[in-house]
Amino acid sequence: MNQRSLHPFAWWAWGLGIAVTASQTPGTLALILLCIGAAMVVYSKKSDQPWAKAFAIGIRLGLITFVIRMIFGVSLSVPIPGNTLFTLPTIPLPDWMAGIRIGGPVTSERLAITATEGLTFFTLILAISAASALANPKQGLRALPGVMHQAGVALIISTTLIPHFVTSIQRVKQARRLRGDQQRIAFRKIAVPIFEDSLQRAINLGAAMESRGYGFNDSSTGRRFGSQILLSSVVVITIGVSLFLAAIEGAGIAFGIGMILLVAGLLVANKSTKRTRYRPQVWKGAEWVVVATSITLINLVLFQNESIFTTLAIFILAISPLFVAPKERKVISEVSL
Amino acid sequence: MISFNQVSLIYPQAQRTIFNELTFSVPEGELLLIMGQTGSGKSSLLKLINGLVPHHTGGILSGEITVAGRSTRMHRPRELVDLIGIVGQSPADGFVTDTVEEEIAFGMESLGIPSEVMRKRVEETLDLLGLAQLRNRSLSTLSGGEAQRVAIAAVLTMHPKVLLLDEPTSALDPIAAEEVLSILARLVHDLGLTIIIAEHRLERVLQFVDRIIHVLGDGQVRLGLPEEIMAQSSSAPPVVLLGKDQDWNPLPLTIRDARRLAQPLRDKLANLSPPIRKTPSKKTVPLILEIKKLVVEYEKKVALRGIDLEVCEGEVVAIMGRNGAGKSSLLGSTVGITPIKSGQVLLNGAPAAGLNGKALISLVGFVPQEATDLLYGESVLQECTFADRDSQVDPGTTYKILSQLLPDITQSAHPRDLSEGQRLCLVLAIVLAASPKLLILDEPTRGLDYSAKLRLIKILRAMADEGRSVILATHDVELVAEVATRVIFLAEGEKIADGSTLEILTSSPAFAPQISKILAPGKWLTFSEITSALEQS
Repeated sequence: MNQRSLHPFAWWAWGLGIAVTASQTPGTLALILLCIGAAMVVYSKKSDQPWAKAFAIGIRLGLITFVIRMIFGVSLSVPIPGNTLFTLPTIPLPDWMAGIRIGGPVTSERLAITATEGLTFFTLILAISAASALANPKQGLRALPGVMHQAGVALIISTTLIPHFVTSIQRVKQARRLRGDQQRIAFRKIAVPIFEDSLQRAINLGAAMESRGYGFNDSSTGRRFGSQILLSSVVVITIGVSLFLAAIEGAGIAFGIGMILLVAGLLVANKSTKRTRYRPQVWKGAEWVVVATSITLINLVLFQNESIFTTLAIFILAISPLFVAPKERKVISEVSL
Repeated sequence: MISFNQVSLIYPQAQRTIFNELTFSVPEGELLLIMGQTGSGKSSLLKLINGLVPHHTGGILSGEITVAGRSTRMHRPRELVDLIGIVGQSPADGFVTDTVEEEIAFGMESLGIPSEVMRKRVEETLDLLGLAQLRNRSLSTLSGGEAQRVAIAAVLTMHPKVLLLDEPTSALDPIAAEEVLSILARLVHDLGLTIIIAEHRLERVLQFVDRIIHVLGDGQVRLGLPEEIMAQSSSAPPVVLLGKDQDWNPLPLTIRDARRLAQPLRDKLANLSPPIRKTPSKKTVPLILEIKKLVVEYEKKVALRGIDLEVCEGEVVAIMGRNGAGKSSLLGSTVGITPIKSGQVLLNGAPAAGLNGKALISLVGFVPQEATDLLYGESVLQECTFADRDSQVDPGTTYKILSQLLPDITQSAHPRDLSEGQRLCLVLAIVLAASPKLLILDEPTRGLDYSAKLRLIKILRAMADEGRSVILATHDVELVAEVATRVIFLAEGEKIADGSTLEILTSSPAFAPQISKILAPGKWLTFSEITSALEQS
């Protein structure tokens, strides 16, 4: 019941590792194996939480992207010489679009290249959706530095907003039925009660949070100082970026100063919020293994030539969480009768 | 522990002083009850103690309130969390996170308590409140009693010395209420906590409390032992009413005390028989509602499994059962707001879901659990105008009904600013404007004090006398004993009992009204039955 779950950052490292590997187009077989590996990990490790559905959505999105890429790749592209399979009718284009054509002969080479490219996109999308299906977003937010805590709480509260909104709308609809109100729906009559509902809820929640010590330990001076440093770091970094874009010297120095300020600001702000975490996410051996395999995976695809050995190695590295990650913790959201 | 010194409170734009120069103190380890009519300022008094009033609500405060030496004037509520925990009227509204365990830890995270200590305290609290089974549950799936316990747990982990609760049992069925109250009693006895409860349901809490603060509504309060306060108060549970009537001394507050004193009365009543409630017979009176094999399902959960129900004109049917037994689903199906999986719901012979507008509301009037759910106007007068138009009656009809129910209502008041009892009356007026043949009430006495409840009882009886029918779902046993002609018990979506009020209520100890517990084996249900029987003899 109380199994621990892999740190969300580790899941993201794993997902990014697969995504980066896929973007290097390590070969069709490797891509297919990456997809299979990602699916294996997701289906054996995912929880029953709503975000676990991200993977199924990712598959659909990936398939759509693949099909669109194929259609465009076949019908609209620069001609590639080779073995012609069939010929599509050509649509003449104006002279200034020379080099591009719509339709024309379709060669097997072009099909193969388009399919591999489509597969790359597919794998990329799959990798990202696999990571989001596995990483618990709430724990991810909790793992952020203390200074981001408020943003995290706001985000968690806002996830309950839409269900409440839906209830409010249903409530007004039901009230209209129960009162036999058959007037045309007036914006004011619907919007005002819904707005009142949300306001009431916000007030209640505010009172509840206040009386449960939210912000108990915030020393406002420390935080203000911290945010001032953070703000100036952003300004300095922006200057650095502009200098870089304008190709003026000094970009690197500005960038460096900005980064130092950023870290200092985070540290100061973090120190001023004396907040602790309940069951903080631990970073243990399993997390290190997952991150290490991801890094190896990226190195492998960057610096090794394509061979049956590397392809196999890619697959094995991609499914490493299968062996080390605990299954995601279950939260009972359905009442069993 | 808590001391009030010359405390006065006025809300801006309010016509009256809420509190006028209160001075009292509460010692450590006391279980104190705040009672008073709706809108008299019970919640304000609670919130004064932890500083939510006036820090969060506004208002002008004079005088000094200190808790363990700390002044609420100098400290914001969040700076008092290590001293005071407060649980609001609807605890679910105050939940910040989404699972039980995280919710319980939320306050401690803000306090910066080390993670190992948090772990320990969470486990202790889970055990103390019997929540260990629920630790991984999502908060949205909790029942009323569970939510109440989680909310109490969430403040207890901060180790407060004072616990404030606003109507902790009004939304609960008798058994869940008993559970929450016995936990509170245990906290007082085992941990020496000071607990202050604001509650309407005196019959549930009276036996647990050490002293009572009676908020009189004119800015004054009266503080005293339960017997003293009850002897002077007009609103009292049936056991106290009976004790006063019989001049029992000392005045009994619990069933046990009353039973010991009641032997002479039981002997006297043995020769008398309780008045027979007229129950309209299905053979002679036309049916108004007919439900056949009703099945209702929500996603994976079955709410009702094949319910049959017939209600004829002039009947007052009470539907009882624990939270989540399917009462609200059943009521909702009669007006077509519950999606039906199979079965039939016929109103006066026509399917309920097919009825709309005037045709629907002239047959059935529905008062939902949250009375505000029916209100969308911006003032009392506007609500009345809407109701006149929807029911196609002469302008002013609704307001006339309302002023009979509530003589002193302000026309321009916003419905949300009314007290719970006033709002119920407003909703009743709106619904009754179309003079429906069947009135349906879901949990009507949640926030009602005794006088508002008496008014409601009168209205319901009058309706039944006119040959109109009433169906009410409620946890309030005393209300059922007063008005119902028939009681139906639901459990797990099934009808497990259906019979006359007397037969059903006296057969189950948890759901028996106080009078019947005192006078058992005599078949008496209400105080008024006894007085009228004694007068006649």
